[in-house]
Order: sequence, then C-alpha cells, then structure tokens
Amino acid sequence: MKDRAKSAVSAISVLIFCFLYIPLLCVAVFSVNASKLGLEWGGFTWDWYIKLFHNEMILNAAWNTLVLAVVSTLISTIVGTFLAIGLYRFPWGKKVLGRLDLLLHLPVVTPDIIFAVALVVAFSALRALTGLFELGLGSMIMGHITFQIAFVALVIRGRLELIGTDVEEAAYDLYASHRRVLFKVLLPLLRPGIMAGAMLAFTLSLDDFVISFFTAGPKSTTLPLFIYASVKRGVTPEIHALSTLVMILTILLVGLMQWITNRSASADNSLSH
Amino acid sequence: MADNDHPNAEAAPKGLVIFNGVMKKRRALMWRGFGFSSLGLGWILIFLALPCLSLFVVSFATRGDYGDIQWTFTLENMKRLLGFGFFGWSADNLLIFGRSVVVGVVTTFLCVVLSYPLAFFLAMRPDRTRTLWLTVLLIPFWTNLVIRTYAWLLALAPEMPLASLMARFEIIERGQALYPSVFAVYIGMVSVFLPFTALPLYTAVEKLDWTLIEAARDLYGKGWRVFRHAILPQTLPGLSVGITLTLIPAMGMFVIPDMLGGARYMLIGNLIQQQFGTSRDWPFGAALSLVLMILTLAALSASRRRHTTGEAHR
Amino acid sequence: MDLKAFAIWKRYGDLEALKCVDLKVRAGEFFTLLGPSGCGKTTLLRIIAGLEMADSGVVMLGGKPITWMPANERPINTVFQSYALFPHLTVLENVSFGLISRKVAKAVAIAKAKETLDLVQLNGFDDRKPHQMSGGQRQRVALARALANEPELLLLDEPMSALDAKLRIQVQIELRQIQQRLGKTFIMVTHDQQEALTVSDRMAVMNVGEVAQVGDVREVYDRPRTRFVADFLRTENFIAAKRTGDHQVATEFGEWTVPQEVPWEEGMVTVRPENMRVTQSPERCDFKAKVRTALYRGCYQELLLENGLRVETESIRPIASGEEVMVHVPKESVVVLHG
Repeated sequence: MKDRAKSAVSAISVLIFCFLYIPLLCVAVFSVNASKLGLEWGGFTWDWYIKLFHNEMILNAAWNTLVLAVVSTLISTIVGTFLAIGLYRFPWGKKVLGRLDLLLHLPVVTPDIIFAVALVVAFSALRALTGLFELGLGSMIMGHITFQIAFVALVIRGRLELIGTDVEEAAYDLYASHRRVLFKVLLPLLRPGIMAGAMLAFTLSLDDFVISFFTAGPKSTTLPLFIYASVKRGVTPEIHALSTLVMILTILLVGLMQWITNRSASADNSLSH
Repeated sequence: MADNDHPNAEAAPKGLVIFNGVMKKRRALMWRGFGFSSLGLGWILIFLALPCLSLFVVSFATRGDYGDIQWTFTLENMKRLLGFGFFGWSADNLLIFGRSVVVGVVTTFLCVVLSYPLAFFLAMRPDRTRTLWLTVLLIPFWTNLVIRTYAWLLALAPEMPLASLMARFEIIERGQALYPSVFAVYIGMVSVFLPFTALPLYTAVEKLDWTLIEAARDLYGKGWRVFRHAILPQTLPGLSVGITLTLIPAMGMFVIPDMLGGARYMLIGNLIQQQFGTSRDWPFGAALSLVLMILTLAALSASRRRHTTGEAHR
Repeated sequence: MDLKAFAIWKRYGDLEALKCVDLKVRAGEFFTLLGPSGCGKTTLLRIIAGLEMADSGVVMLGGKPITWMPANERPINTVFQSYALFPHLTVLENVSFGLISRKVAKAVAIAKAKETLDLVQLNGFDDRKPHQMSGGQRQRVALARALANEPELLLLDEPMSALDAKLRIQVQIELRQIQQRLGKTFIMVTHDQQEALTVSDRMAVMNVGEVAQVGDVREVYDRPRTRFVADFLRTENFIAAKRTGDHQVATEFGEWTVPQEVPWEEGMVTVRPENMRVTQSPERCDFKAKVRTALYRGCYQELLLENGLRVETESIRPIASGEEVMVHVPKESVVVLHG
C-alpha cells in the first residue's frame, strides 16, 4: 500500500480506538475523583473503592455474578463438549446432521431479546407444569447455559475437525475400548478446545445483560443488573469504581483467553505433521 | 487369481457400519451419538426452540386483566401491530418498526465504513504486535454492554469536553448533555457493534491476495475502482459475516436506546421489553417478537444469498 | 498367520473402489500391495484392518473369518501413513498403549514396550513426546507401537512416504530385517515400485479396483502379464507382434523366438531397456537405429532411439546423439504380454 494510504488508515484507526476507549477511560478517571457530585475534578481518592467493599448489595451482586458464571460455565462446558462429540463423531445422515446443526446454531443467531422472551415463556410454562422454575439465580443459570452450550459445542467442533479421525482409528486398532478411546485419547486431545470453550462461556456469562435482565428474580441481582438499576436511579461514584473493576476483570480474562489460544495454536503444530 | 475356490460372496450384515474405527450397527451407533448429544440438544430445544415456536401461538392469545394469558384466540394483536389500537389507528408501532430497521441498517453501514480502515490497520501490523492490537480491539468487545453504554452517558454528560465543544458552536445549549438524542444512540450503537463488524472483516483482509490489488491498481488507477474490483470481492465473505453479526443484534437492541435515546426514541426491542415488563402484555409482546424474528430471518437469508454470490465471484 | 480375502467389493457412491478382489498372503511373508494412487490398495488394507467395511466378501486370518470382527478385536495392527501417534502421550505410553488396552499388567507392558523400542533402535526416548522427535524417529515409534502387540499380521500404509529419499532406503533395509527376524506376516501398501521390490517377498500390482498381477517380486518384475503392469514397473519398450508359432512372433525387427507360449494372434511383447544390448558384431544385431537423444546417467547411459525404443547400456563407451547403433535383444528377456 502507498505510504499516504497507510498513514490515513493508521490515523483513522487511532481515532477509532480513541472512540472505543475514551468513554471507558472517563469511567476509570471518575472512579478515583474525590468530588461526589457534579463532574469537576476534586482530587484523587480510593474512597469509592473502599466504600464498594462495604456495600452489602454490591458484594451480594458480585457474588451472584460469580456463582452464575462459574456454575453455568461448568455445566455448559460438559454438556457442550458431549454435544459436539455426539454430533460430529457419529454417523448421522447428512440431512439429520443438517437439522441438528441448525438447532445448534439457533442460540448463536437468535437476537438477545427474543432469546430472553423465549426463556421467560419457557420458565412460566414449566412453572405451570411443575410448580418449580421460579425466576431467580437458578433460572438465570439455566438461561446462560442455553446460549453457552452452543458456543462451547462450536469451539469443540473446530477442535474435532483439527485432530482428525486417524488418531481415534489408531486407538481402536490398538485394541482400545470405546471408554478408553474417549477418556484416554479423545478428551485429552480436546483439552485445549474444552479450555477455550469454557473461557468463552465464562466471558459470555459475564458479558450478558439482556438475558439476565429478563430471567432474574427479586433477589438475584448481578453486577450488570445492579449497574443498570443504579443508572436509572442516579449514579453514585461507587458505580464508577465498580464498573472499573469489572473492566479490569474483563481485560484480564481477554488477555488470558488470547494467551490460551496462542499457546494451543503452537501446541497444535504437533498434530499436523 | 487362478484358483476360484472362494466361498460364496457374503454381503455385509444389514445395518452394520464401520465409522471412525468402530464396527457396529448404524442404529446402535446413532443411539450412542444421541446419548452424547441428547442433553445439549434437549436443552436448546426446551429452553429456546420450542418457546420460540410457542410465541407464534401466544401471539394469538389475549391479555387477561391481571397480565395473565387468556387462551381466547383473536387477531387483535396482529391488528395492534399495524397500529389499530383502542383509540383508533396510529402510526406509532409502524414507526417503531421502521426506526428499528433504519437504526440497524445505518449502524451497520457506519460500522462497515469504519471497519475497513481498522481491518487494514490490524492486518498491516507485524506478527509480533498484531495479537496485542487484536486484544485491544477485543477488550471493548467483551466489556459488559451496560458498562459501555453507561460510559457514554458519562462521556456525553454536560460540562464534559464533548458537550462543551458542542455548546461553544451553539449546537446545544450550555450545561446540557448530549443525551437523550438520536446522535447519542448512534454513537452508542456504533461503538458497541464496531468490533462485531471489524473482526470478521479483519480475518478476510488478512487473507487478501495483494497481487490482485496491485493488478487492479495497474488497471483502474486508484481509489474507489480498486476497492470495488479488487478489495470488495475478496473481502465479501468476511463482510457478509460482519454485517449479519451487526445488523441482527442492532435491530433488536434495547439497552442503548433505553439509556441514551430516552422515551421518545423507542425501538422494537424497547417495545417488547415493555410488554414483558411494566405492561405485562405477553401476547402482544409475543406478536412483536414475531416481527423481530421475521426481520432477523430476512437479514439472515439476505446475507446467505450474498455469501453464495460472493463465493461464485471467486 | 496367512490372510485370505475373497471377492471383496467396495463402492463409494458411483465409484467402485474394489471390484471382486481376491488376495492370498502366506504366513510369515512380506507382501506388498503396489499400485498408483486411487487403485484401491489403501481401501483393501483398511478393510483388512477393520477400519473400512467391505460391501461384500470374506476376510480370513489363519483360516478363521474376521470379516465382521471389529478393529479392536482383530489380532492385526497398523502403521498409519500419518503415523497417527498420540500427541499427548510419551513414546513409552504410545508403545504400551495396545498392551494396556488388552489389560496386560503394567510392568509387563512397559517391559515389552522397552524391548520393542530396542528392536527399532529407539532407546532413551521413552519420555519424549512425538512432537519433540524427527520424522524418522516418529516412524519408528509408529512401528514399535504396532509391533509391541505381537500382531499376527502387521499392516503398513505407505510407511515411508513422509521420509526423505536417503532415510527411506535405510528404513527399507531395517524393515526387511525386522520382518525376517520376527517371522511375522507383513502387508505393506506403496506406490513406489523400488520400495516394493526391495522389501517384499511377493507383491500384488493393483489397477483401478482390481489385482492386475500377483506373484514373487522377481517374477512380477521379470514377467509382467499385462501392459499396465509392465508400464507401472517401467518396462516401457512395447513392440507390436504377430504370432507365427507357439513360441514364435514376428515384429518389425524380425522373427523372434520367445520363452513363453504366445496366446494371441496379434499382440504386444516387451523388453526392459536394461536388457537390450548395444553390440559391435553385425551377426548379433537385431536392428539398427539412430540415437535421437543420449543421456548420461552416471553408472549407465540411456539412449532414446528414433524408432521409439529406449535402451540402457553401460557408459564405458560414450555414445552421442545422432549416432547409429546396433542393438541386440536377448530373446530370453522378451516378455509376451497378455493384455
């Protein structure tokens, strides 16, 4: 590319990055601003962070967020991994696999709000049938699992394609039982994919707002729900501090995710000869 | 072979297959596969697929006095979609649908325009720093939607540099915020959806055949025609994925218009949220969801067609 | 153990990969399936291994039918073309995998694995992972992993295709030695005729789903039955001929007495380029021809004659392009082709 075009592209890109980051920086700056009301600079302080850790409601919301993410990630990773193995390692007909594939992609393409509405309808129908399924942390976990499963399964599918079938054939050729192939060959080989899928599921859970918003009960506020409610009520500087902490967590997670994908990419050189 | 002493040729037992080194009846293998996948498939079926289908039925029901669903089937909700309400016809609903499409399309267009330079910028980074730049783009992508929207609320607040600047040029009054406004909605939408467009586009740009671009430069000179004939056809698959990933969630967005647009700038998402929230009118909410589903399917099928023609080009 | 396959059919949609193939492999021999890519040789090997299902036919090992026996019950092991080593396991774990699958006590399995690694000259690599090894070393691991199980039959699917030429020759020799030492039955698939000739006792040349010829390597090489086999084994000189007697043919170069009976009225005979002689004595001369191109190949020189034939002769006396030479065809080296 010509130098002029190159520098134009760079300049525009830098502006875009500013556009993406300036608002986030504003939040971070105000989280250490001592002035309580108004937007003028009142000096540096850690007060808001300290107050944060004494706020029962915020601690509770943080705990809910964590429980939601961890539990839904654990379940969806297991279910999604087996789903991918079941779909892509068994002789389904082309037509049947096409249909099942469509079902698997449904959570990926459905807009959040329809997803949330569908869950609300499902929970109320199940509640009418069984008397269980009250909206709350449990229903949120089930809702998150619904979209996480699909993403985990798609990540695992990519990994299954990468490792190919001849290693499994070799294992059967070496007298292995189905169990032995699954636990000693397939699952260990899938491990990087399972890790990546779990990371993705965890991040998706933290990132979600809409589905949590619809499926939450009165006592199951999570951090995004709490922040949203506070914005409606009127923001306090504690919210700035809280948002900043969530952003830092996100940065760490994204960094970790990149690190894992990079590492597994270099380890995969051993798979392809 | 010379000697023909072989036994009668034996046909394979019916249904027996070898798949991935396993010899079993196809039926038995499929049951095993079903065992692996049933929990996941069943989960998606029960919590998403069936409820989505049931929305179709619910949309023909009526709202009871206490927000419950009365199973008396009418076309009332369909009429309401078209604007026939208790107080005669109003264009409000149709306006909201139209606005949702416009906001979706304009947001997507802006994201595409901004994504091209960004994708080229990322693709031109040396291998060493490219992952770092990608991470820089991924961080906003993974930051919670509410936090990012709220961050704009702060950035567009009165007395912040942007608002002061606007006030100096007398676009807004002094001491006023830049929200709620259409402008704020677009700012929020573009910043949220930009990575959705840019990342797929980047993967396409990374695979670009630069010799084609050089050839196009010789043929067409520079600028738009090079883009049209050399860059666009090659990046079309990535572009169509990016457009789909942006357009579909953008049309259904409700958090950004809710926080930055104010009550007067509603999209279909806000309307749906209202029916399932304060109004407790699920049947009408279901009908609205159907409208959004149709819009989504239209966008998906358009992108699929685009994708296949894009393949044919190459 | 000996292996017999009868009337094996295999179709993939419209493509007939194997058309009623019969095969007999004797106990303790090194047998090779030789053929161009797409001839069905790998499919046949995979059917024997139990990794592919024949549409019909019978496979018998040591006299017992194994056609419907799953791969993990057959006393057969395979060296895969890609080696298919377990990348997450160490060399020792790879080699003992099959034994542990069969519930052999761990100590016994490890001892056997180490012994087999000795056999393929790979001691001291026990704790390496496959990706820390060279291509040649990985190939040995694959071989050891199969041999450790003491299979009745070892299958090798293009085992040397990923090795460079120099290493390949060394591995061929070692493979032959290991087979002779163990006295096991080996079946190898390859498209490299040199490799087939070097390592095997007998071979089958395959052509689009059929066995074209089977026999001793020497026999197949010296007496190809059909033009396809002759061509694949690089015989190259094909001469049209008419039958004039039980052992008599008339060619454009005169009447020849041939060692085999002539089964047709009109057909083809062939002579290997290295069997033709450039001669000085006019009485031994079968034909004279101008050299179109002379190529120096080091230990021999190759003459492309104007009549389309190819002669390989010793390079002591340089022959130039354009020179006329007298060629002698030893009649005992003429092969009558059957089709």
